[in-house]
Amino acid sequence: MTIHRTDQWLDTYLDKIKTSQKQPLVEHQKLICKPLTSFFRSIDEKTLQEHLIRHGLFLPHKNNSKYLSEWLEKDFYPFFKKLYQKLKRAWDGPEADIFLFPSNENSRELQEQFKGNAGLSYPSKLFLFLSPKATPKALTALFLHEYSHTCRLHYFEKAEEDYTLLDAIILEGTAEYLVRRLLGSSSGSQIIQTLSEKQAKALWDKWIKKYRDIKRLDAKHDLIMYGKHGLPNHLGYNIGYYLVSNYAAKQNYSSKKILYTPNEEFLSIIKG
Amino acid sequence: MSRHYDFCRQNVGRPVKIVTHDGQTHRGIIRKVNPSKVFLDPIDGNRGPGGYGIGYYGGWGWGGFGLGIALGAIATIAFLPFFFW
Repeated sequence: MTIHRTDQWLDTYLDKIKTSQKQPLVEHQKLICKPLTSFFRSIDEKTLQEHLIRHGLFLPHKNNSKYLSEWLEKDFYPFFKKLYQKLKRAWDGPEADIFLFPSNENSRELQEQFKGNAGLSYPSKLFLFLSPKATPKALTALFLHEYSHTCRLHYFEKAEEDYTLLDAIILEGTAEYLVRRLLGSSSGSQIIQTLSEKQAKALWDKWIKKYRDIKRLDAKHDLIMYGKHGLPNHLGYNIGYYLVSNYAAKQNYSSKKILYTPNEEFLSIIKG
Repeated sequence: MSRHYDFCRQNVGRPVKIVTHDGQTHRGIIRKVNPSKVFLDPIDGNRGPGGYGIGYYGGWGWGGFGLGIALGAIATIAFLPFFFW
């Protein structure tokens, strides 16, 4: 288990942007993103930088030294180390490479919709983008969400290019369900709405049934998940949560059992 | 003003392939343009580095659009076919 010492990378980065004439963009690429490339199959630091920034990583500009210093003072490591050990034991989860970073403090949507915290998860690594203002409860909710992804992705092992829309729907549904079950609904995501049985069935039949096996790289995948271009907002997330929460309500399963339930079992809810 | 500015402005929402002078290829849907940069949304979303996040589409970054491509760095732009439903 490794929570990597990204605080040391940040210290060096801060030093460089304060003292050297070099551009923060380049230093950010070199000191923050390049070390991460070895944890991916084959990627360059520029592509990874763009990707992580899209998912909430702090921005490379000259004026956030104070913000980064404030973040470093928080010292999130002991908190996540403890949480990770506890959850790994409870869920029988995999070893994971964990990277903690400051989140993008300039994004209003990130602050308003997600309390300034974001993450990105893979079968054996995860990235957490944290606000220095985050409460312990918000941090816990984020970790529960992201680490549940890692556990499920690791358990149902599959080549990344083979992940389907249904995989994503259930992945997000289980994450949302677990956060609400363990911390209460107020810790859940704001993007989730209550769906009636009739609504859920109609949405499933219209938008998901036909496309459940499309792969991640299909343009329709994200459009359905996020509900773009006229589709209901965050459609995939909402259907996923509906399926998992209603299924769980019928069973008396532990959190762990729900986490590792195969996709098809959740579909019994929509199929009757 | 870069000659690519007008083209990008007129084609917001269309998928394009941009080749920059450094030889890099960028594919995406034109999301936003300003006099110095164009911002693309990835077409294949998470195909490259992948991963599963917390539910925000389009990504954050400056103004919410990632890092952008400098218009002055563009060698060529071409349309990409976009098969939807």
